Amino acid sequence: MKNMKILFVILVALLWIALFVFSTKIILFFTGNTLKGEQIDTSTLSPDIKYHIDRISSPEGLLKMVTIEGWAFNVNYRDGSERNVSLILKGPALSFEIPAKTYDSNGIANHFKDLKISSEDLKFDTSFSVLAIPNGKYEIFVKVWETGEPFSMVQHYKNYVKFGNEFSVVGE
Amino acid sequence: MKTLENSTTEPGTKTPAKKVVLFSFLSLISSFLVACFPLVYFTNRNLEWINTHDFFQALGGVALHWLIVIIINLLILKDFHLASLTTIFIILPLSLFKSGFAYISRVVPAFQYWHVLMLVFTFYILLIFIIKKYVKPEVSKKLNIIAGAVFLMLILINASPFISQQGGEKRKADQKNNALGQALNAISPVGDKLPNIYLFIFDEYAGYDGLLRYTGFDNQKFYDDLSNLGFKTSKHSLSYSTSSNTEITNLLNLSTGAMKYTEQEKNNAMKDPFLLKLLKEVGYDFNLINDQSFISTPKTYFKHQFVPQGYFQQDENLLSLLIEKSVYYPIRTTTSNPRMLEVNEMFAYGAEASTIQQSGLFTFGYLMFPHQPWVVDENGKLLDEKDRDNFENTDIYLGQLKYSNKMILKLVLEIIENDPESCILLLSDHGYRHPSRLKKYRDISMEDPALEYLYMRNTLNAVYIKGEAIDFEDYSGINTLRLVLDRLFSLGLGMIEEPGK
Repeated sequence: MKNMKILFVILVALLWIALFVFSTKIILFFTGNTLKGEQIDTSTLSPDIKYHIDRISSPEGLLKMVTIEGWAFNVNYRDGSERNVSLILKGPALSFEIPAKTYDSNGIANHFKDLKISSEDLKFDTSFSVLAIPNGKYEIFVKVWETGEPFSMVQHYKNYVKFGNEFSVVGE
Repeated sequence: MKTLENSTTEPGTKTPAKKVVLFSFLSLISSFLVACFPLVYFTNRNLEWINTHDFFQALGGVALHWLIVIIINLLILKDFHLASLTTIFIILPLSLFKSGFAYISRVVPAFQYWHVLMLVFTFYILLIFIIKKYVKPEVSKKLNIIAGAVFLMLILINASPFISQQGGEKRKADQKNNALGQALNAISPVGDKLPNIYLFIFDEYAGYDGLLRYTGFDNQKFYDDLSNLGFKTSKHSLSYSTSSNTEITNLLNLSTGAMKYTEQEKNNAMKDPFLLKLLKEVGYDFNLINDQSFISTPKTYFKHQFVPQGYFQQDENLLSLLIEKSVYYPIRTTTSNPRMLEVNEMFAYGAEASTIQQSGLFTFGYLMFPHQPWVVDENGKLLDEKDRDNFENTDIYLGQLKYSNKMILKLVLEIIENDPESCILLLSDHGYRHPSRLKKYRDISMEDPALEYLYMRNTLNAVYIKGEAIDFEDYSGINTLRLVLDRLFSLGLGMIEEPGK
């Protein structure tokens, strides 16, 4: 009986330790913020992408969410097509792709009226938890594509470093 | 429950029932005193910002929190003394969770909120186990009383400035009533139609001189733009105080009485302020924009009202501060986006006020903007969360002030378009309090406090009165209001003494 009690206490302690150690991963999983690391080929960049990143916020809230806002399109987009944007964070070992929500923008379309680009899906925003990526230096790539068509990407001119709960421009 | 079971007087019982009840009560009071300590501590540290209404709301929140914790402990332990002892141990980690978390995450940066929450929860479970198994109610009773006495001492030490302020000289209300009577007798409205009046107070909008001194920015263009719209502006106006509570109470009572009032008296003076009483007699309806629910005048006064945020989203109240420090801080929203939405809504509502009724409406807007939280730069771009309270970098404040210039111009342009025969007053309660923040949070003393105090009281002051010329120079906000009311209704209010320079 005494042995059973000791065993029970050990089991509870082990379960507690496991929960404690993996709690961040568990929370990320249940809040849908897990990011899957993969090898992504970023060697082919396209000169046809116009883009701007308006804002990369500091990590905010409990999950240290970084919000990224901007606009991006390929000058060869066809009218009426469904357009997609995602951001790729390329780290020291793995890359992480973060899909973005897109929005129509007459302002961007007007600004580039010479390119005769329609206003659909030009702006984007997305967010990710810095807790979901390992520490290290990150290059940011903007990936755009029309549904059913091959993607093209461009590299953002600033690199970021993730350390602890911080996500900041390299050198700042 | 053990204590209640023992509480009947039986022959041969050593402890009389009354004594048992008394000690149970003392145990409960002890745990309540411990629960109240953070409230008293933060009240003491923020005395100049807090009014009585704030304090009692926060006390209600603390009492409710304590009650929930003690009931849970009573249900588990079934003894008043043991439940009180457990509450004493757990209530401070819950109330000051964020400070502890900040300390732990400095030592172990990988620790997140949930890690510390797990540690606190585990501590609580072990505490319950140890207290239930090893601590006798008699011992617990003594420990509770000792803890209660210690925390009572701490509370008294921390509360002494508050008590001394409350115990200060009581002001008589008669003076105010006499002034009202005289003014009401003198009312002679000019013309049949009562022009709509818009009074906007932009908290911490620095006057021209103060802004130049603390940020190096020359705000002349803003004053020129206002002049072009028909405003008379004053660049060197001063407020009487750097405290919003004091100055706004003064403004709404057209006097400087609040300079000597206790917080309770200021609160009372806001219940039925002289300015509103006066305008009510003249025949005005009231419309309020109440950022942070700062204006405590009863809702019944106002025909229309806009309150941009719920209680937990307010930035300046004691209960929010206590929540911010506690384990419950995630329920507070502190990102820039919601705050900017509120600010945009307030400005939009202010402009819409010019379409509510053609005459006889007094719109009073209190906007905690460009006051912190600093959430936006001069182009309207949201700032990072880390700059929200960045008082050291004056560019952060300046960016928000420059953006408020744009918002204010848009607001008054719309009002004038809709309601050209109106009267608009743009005031601030005090200027940019940069030196006092450096003193308070960094202990950086001012070389010449009297001089800095002067610049910190340099306020925004601009008046549009039906597009007509009005002659005033460097008046305080209160005197400007008195002047405008005299001009509109021939009240004979006259001027009061200008703030000391």
